[in-house]
Amino acid sequence: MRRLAFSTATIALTTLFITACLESYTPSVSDSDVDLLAVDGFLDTSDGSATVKLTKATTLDNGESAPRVQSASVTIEGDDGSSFDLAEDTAGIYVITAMPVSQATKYRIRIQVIKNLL
Amino acid sequence: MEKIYRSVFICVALTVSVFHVKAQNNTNVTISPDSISFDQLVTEIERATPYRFYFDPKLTEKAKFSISATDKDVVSVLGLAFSGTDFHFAIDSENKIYVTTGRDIMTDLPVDFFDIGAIPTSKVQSVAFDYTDYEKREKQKKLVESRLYSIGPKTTNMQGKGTLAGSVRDVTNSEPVIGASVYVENPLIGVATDQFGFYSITLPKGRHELKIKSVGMKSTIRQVIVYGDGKLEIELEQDVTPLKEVVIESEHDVKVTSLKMGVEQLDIKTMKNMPLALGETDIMKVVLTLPGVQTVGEGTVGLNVRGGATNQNLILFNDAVVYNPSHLFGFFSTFNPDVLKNVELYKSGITADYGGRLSSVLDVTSREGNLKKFSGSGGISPITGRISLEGPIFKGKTSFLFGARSTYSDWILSKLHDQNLKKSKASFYDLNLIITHKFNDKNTLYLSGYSSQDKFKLAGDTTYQYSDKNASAKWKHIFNNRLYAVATIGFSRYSYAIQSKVNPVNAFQLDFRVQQLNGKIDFNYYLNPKHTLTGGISSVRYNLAPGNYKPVGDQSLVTPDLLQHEQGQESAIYVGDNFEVSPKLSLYGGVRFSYYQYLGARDVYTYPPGSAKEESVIQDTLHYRSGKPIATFQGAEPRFSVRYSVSDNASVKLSYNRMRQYIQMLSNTTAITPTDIWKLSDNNIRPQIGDQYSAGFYQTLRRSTIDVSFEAYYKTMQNTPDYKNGAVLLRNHHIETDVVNARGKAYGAEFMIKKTSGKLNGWISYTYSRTFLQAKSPNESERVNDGKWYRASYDKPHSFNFVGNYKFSRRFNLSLNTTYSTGRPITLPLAKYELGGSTRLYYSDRNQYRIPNYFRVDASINVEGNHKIKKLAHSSWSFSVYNLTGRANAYSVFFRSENGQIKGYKLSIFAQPIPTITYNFKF
Repeated sequence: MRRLAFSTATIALTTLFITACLESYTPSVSDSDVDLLAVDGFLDTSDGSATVKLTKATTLDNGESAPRVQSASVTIEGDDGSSFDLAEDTAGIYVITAMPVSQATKYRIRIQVIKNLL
Repeated sequence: MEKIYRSVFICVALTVSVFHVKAQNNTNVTISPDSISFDQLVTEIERATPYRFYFDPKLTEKAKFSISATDKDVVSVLGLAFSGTDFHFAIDSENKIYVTTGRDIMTDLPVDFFDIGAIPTSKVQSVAFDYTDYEKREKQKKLVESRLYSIGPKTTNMQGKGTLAGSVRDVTNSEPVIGASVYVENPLIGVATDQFGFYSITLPKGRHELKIKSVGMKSTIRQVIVYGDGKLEIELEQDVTPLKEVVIESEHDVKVTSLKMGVEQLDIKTMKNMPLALGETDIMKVVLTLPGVQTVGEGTVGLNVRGGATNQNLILFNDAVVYNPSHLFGFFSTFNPDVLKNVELYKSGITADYGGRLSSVLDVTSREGNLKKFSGSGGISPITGRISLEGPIFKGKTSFLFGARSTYSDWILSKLHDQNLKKSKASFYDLNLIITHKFNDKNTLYLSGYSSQDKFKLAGDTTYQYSDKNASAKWKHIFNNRLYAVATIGFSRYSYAIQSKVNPVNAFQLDFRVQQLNGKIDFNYYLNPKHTLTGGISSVRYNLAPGNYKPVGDQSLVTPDLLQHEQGQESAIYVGDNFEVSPKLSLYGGVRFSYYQYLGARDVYTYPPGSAKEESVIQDTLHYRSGKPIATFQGAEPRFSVRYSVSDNASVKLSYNRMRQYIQMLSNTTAITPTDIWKLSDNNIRPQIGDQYSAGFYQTLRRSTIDVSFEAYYKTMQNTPDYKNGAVLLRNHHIETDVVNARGKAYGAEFMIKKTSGKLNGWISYTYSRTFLQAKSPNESERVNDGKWYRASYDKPHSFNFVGNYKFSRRFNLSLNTTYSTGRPITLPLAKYELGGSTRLYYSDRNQYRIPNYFRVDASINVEGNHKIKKLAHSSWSFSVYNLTGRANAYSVFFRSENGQIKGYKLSIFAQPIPTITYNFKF
């Protein structure tokens, strides 16, 4: 009887620790939440050079590096009406050199991508 | 057989009769053979005398007697024949002889049956009466129920009213019965006993039939004639597995007639019938099956009541505050079921005597020790053992109740083969001691002490320890029939320690402590039949040690880090009036005024007004001396409720209450470690304020056996703390920089059908509830989801519960518990992106997604031992299965990076059915 009691006890307690179970879990996330463009850019005011790297966000379980976004049109626009196009250097990396940067001007970036590439 | 006794007993008892054996003719009989069967004996006697026998042939068919009698009277013949056997006989006035086994029956009513001193006309010749305990109690009960009690000095002036007061107690152990209804039906005047079992009812002078009814107790009545003010003590009998039932159904149900709304009362008997998770009755799990009460996950401590956060519940154990009501990651509650008596949960309609938390009050009361005799009870399950002892210290005056509970899981873990489990530790114990001393009728002292400790260590890594200690002393003084006062002092301390010694170089220990000392005096005054006034003052002194991080061992290179202590004082004064406008309409109005100060000694940081609180913008550090107020908050907390009876069986109730909370728990984790911290309101974190409006409809059906209730509420909350992204709460010297000030709104509807009696009993409840928060601020870092309303992390719209018990017989019952709820909200990482050459995560809006829905079924079978009255110990077995369907409910969902991939995981604690066997005993 004593032995029986002990084995019941063991079973119950081990179940307590072992029934804990870890399963892989993939939340149902809508595609539109992952359809994102990552813009990683830098404008050097000293020499007027700018680099913008365009990549696509990927799902969490993707082991590859992020896909580059190619053939986009990237433009830096100043609030004084100036506008500078960046040229695609290597895939997904858009550059401009020797852009005349004025300290008094505010700049913004305009990006247009080809839809089916995103 | 029981039936035969019963019918015989009743039939005989109703024939008010007098014994005259001597008066009979031919009562003598001659029996010659030495050995005679029962039937032959009967034939002989019936032939020779006018006596006729009544018996159960099944019991007598094999009986043989050896007697020899010549011309002896029947009584001596039977006496001779039955001597040394199990047979008893009794003779009534109509020459009927009843033969029974085991015990005697009464052939006439007790001497004092009508309390008029009826004198038997002749001396009874048969053997002395031998009642069982049950019959004795029944007899006693009939006696008191038929007796007419005079209340007050006799007078001929029957104009005006008289107040009747006293206490309602359990006849077996003199314990007070809480929440018993004491009422008369014409006119309808009723009161409920308070936490001391005390009642005071004012009735028009004259004769009344006072009815007394309480859950789990047999109803009773008292005939009273009220001449003036007076006392009436009432004893009730427990309705436990009686041999026969006496049921007095009341036409007026407590839930319908009581002014309280949003209050759920559960007694320990109801709770003990629920399926058990790990072999123990757990009040926190029972409370979770009630409508409007939810939890974010299995195995967590927290209750979310009507859209409130887990720290917004005032949990009281005998008036002392309980900071952490859980053991072993929340799988057990800290309340030992053997010492508990009653649990009341206030979801709305909170009266002015309670304060300090926003959403609910969970008032847990223990029993008092048995004043009449020593007894004990206990239980053994695979994981825990518990025992309780109680009894009188001075008979009738002082009693004690001691309870202890512990696990033997450490020992079991050490026996296991799995290395990880072998190194794990998990243990807890708790102790309760309750002493009650009755000085006299007017003064009673209640002492209660509680101490618990938990310790666990998973796979030989970090050790977590926490301990809860509390004590309270309560002195109740009755000034007169209408006024009594209770003075209470209480002390609570909750502390935890986290220790890691795996790596000697960074071995550390982190201590946390919160403690409070509180005192209060409450008055209860029954002004007149229409008004009951309550009032009181209270004060709480808080003392927090929010963190002490220190190295452990000689090799440890950890830098000690001590967080400044915190002090605060919260005082309150309140008054309330229960106004019975008419039998149909009653009102409660009360107001509590609370005053709080955050006190030094402390260095506090100030931030520029209007800017976000960031470490980088700290403007100044101000030092306050000890006891100096740093911040002061105060305000009124009005409370109202109205009850209107639509009919005898239905009522509508409305209530409003405002609550203020000056201490909050900060927690941004769902981890199973007790690392939440408590924080007092200060110059940077304002106290929380909550307002709740609620309405309800209550109906009883089928002679009060079915309660139907519908309640709806709307609630707003101010200054609810939520957290910035990536907030750090432990060892944070300026926690205000990680907290955002949010406001909240919650609304919902609760529906419940409860069947309280019968073979099948239990309840079904459905709750729809929503809770939203909004953190608006001109500063981007202090906004959540850009200042829009977002779901609180405990927002679970749908929740369904079924709790059912089916009694197959007095000894077997089956219970089933089903629970379903929407999964709680979660903030998910949605995508990966690259920035500056490294991979980053893109998160959803706060609480935008939900974890999978929760569903669980538990079942249990309880088997009671036999119901013999005289035996060493009464025992019962309980077989239960927790999570019968084995569904892997998500306890938490988390993500981790593996080989460049972010993998999501769902952790389930009880992913399989868990069977448990428990043996319970009582002696």
